[in-house]
Amino acid sequence: MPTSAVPPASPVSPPARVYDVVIVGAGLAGSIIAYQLGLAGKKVLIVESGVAVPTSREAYMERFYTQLAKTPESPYPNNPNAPRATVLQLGGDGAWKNASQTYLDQSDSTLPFSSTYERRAGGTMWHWLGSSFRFLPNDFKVYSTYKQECDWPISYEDLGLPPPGRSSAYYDLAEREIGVSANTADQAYLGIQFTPGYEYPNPEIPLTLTDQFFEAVCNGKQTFEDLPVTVYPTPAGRNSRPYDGRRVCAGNTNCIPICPIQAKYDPTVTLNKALDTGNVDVIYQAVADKVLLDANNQNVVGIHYITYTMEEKRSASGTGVAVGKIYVIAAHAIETPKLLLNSKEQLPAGVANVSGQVGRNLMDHPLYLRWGLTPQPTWPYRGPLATAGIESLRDGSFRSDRAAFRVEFGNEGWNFAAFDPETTVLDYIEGTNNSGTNTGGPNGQPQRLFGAALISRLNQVFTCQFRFGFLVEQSPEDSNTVTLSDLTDDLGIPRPKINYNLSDYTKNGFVAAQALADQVFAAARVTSFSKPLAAMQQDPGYFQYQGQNFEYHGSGHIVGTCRMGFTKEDSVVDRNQRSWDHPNLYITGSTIFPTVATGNPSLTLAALAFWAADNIKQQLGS
Amino acid sequence: MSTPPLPLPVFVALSAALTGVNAAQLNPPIDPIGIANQYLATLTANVSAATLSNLAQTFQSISNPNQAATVILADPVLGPVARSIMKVWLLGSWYNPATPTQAVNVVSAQAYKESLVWKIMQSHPMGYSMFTFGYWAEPPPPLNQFIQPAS
Repeated sequence: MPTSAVPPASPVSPPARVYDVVIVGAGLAGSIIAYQLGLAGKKVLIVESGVAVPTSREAYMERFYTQLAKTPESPYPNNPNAPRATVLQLGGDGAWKNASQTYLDQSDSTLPFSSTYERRAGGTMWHWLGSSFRFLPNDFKVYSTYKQECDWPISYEDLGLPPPGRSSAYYDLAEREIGVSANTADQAYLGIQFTPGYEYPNPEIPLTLTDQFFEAVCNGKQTFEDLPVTVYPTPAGRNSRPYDGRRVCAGNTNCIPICPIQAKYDPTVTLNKALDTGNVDVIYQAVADKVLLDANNQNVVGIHYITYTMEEKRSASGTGVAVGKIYVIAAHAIETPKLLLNSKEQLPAGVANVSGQVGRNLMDHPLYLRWGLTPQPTWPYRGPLATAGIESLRDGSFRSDRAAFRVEFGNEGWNFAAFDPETTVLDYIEGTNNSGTNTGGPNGQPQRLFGAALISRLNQVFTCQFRFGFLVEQSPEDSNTVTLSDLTDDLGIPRPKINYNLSDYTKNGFVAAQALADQVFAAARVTSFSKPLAAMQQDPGYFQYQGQNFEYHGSGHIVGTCRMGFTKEDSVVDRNQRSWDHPNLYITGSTIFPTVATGNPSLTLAALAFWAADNIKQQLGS
Repeated sequence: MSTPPLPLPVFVALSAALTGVNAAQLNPPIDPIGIANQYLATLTANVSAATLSNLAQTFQSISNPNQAATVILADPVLGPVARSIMKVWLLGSWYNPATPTQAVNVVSAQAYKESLVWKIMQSHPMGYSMFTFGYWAEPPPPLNQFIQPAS
């Protein structure tokens, strides 16, 4: 298998044998399914658009260290053969709409879709945060409980409690694979139940001083809309003790974009285990562009792909067809619908799209940031990027009227919120005030400092910085779509076209988030800072609502676009994650989520992948 | 071999006055990294020899380093260069004196890891922790464990 850091001179030829299962995508879902099937003795081929996992992550680290903007994609080279959007392509002043400088064609979109993904073995979770939340029971039934959004065709119990005849729940399996550090007593809120006797694989991660500060302000003391405001430790996909051959977290404060020591789980761990079964092959640098059907448009008969030879150069080299008995598309929520829609030779609406739902209901957790200075140092820029947050407001009767949210406490000061440490350092050297803190001169004018006074002031500001992120549950909307652009990539494959907007229901969540931030900030006696309005108005995520100015960012939670549902008319896949239209086609990953729910998606995505593997095994066995 | 317009010892003394960090911390006697040399090379590649020579002479002509820094920072030509020197030490990135808020590049991976701002915040470079699991639950060592003040 090609597993070295250097891409092979030419990709391996399509193996001649017929596989039991062909999987598109070597990310979290694809790796878990391949591993489970490989353990069961099934022969699996993964078709991966990106390069193999490097033998060492040092090259990625060096690239990260020397990039000026430490964006989520900063450690990872651009690959013109399998391109992706980057944060830097989301230019302000409307530049994000200019499809000549972006990968995603957003020329007709109302608001920008700001989240990005990776196309390489291991997938987007190279730069995931590590937060490993279970969804709440009510997240699966928002429609039947609150007459909003829609229900999932599965329940919390389907994932959170063992299926009949089993000892482990799918969430348990996912938490063990990821090595989640948490404790069940702290996570059993808002209806979450665990398998009797279950405990997380690793102990809880200690809270940072910022977490402890806000925990003391909130817990038992604050309520919001008659609900308690409670800080909980975040279940973390990072090691609190050596686990699965990986090291303990050293608090590099760098989970996004890359953990330098792989104390944070990523799917390369599972992919390696899949390869070790001896039953799994991967063809890297193979971009799937068509799902091929039989003459009756019933069964899938192959995945057509285009190969290339060099990661950083346009280098198409050939084509091939991967053949199996069962097919799984696990290419994340933008590339998956793109692939299905592009497979239109026999079915003009694309494969698996009799419902017309492929590409619809694109979602994210639009992220509302608030930041400030604590009255005394809380020493941020230390520890994992996020270790706690307010989780008690993820559910409540308010969901009839507005979107729910969870609140993540950032441990990276104003790094995300205000591009620090650069902004504040430049302020005090140049005498500017972009951070808002430089008002110590005569009449509140900015100061220019040097020497001991500079060190003292910078220490004062940096050690008191904190940031909240409100992950607002975006409602599914038919009109938020991934379709095919008229523009193509370097291999001639149509690029994804995005139409995206925020509903009033979602925006009502921002209004509530703002009110909660104001309340907690006042109770904590912290000083709030914000971007000047003129700067905010130039940013891509700016919008006005109810006379107020807001700005959102992407959370990286790309969800929806191939929803699972109750009938073949309302959805792309059934509760078994199988296409309603093609009996040997499974579609999995966050693309099948009917709603984005109130937790970060990866754990639920992993649990669903374990379930899909069981379903596929069952179908192969019969 | 001619004398460089801004000799290393003068560059280090000037840097100490501008940043408030002791010359021995900026340029340790036993130095496996040599970050001061990297920054001086960057400066030499981007600023004219005449300006660097002027910078050295001005700094050396005033015996009190603090006063010398004040004079240099107020100078229309030398001030922007001095501020670029401060930024490269604090952030590890080179800012052209003519475009003072636009970073040109990160000088090197070492420069990122050695940049002083992380020490000023009593922490570590993001992505390069030298602490161990759980350190974040307790306050850090005091600032003087991270920064030795200029004498």
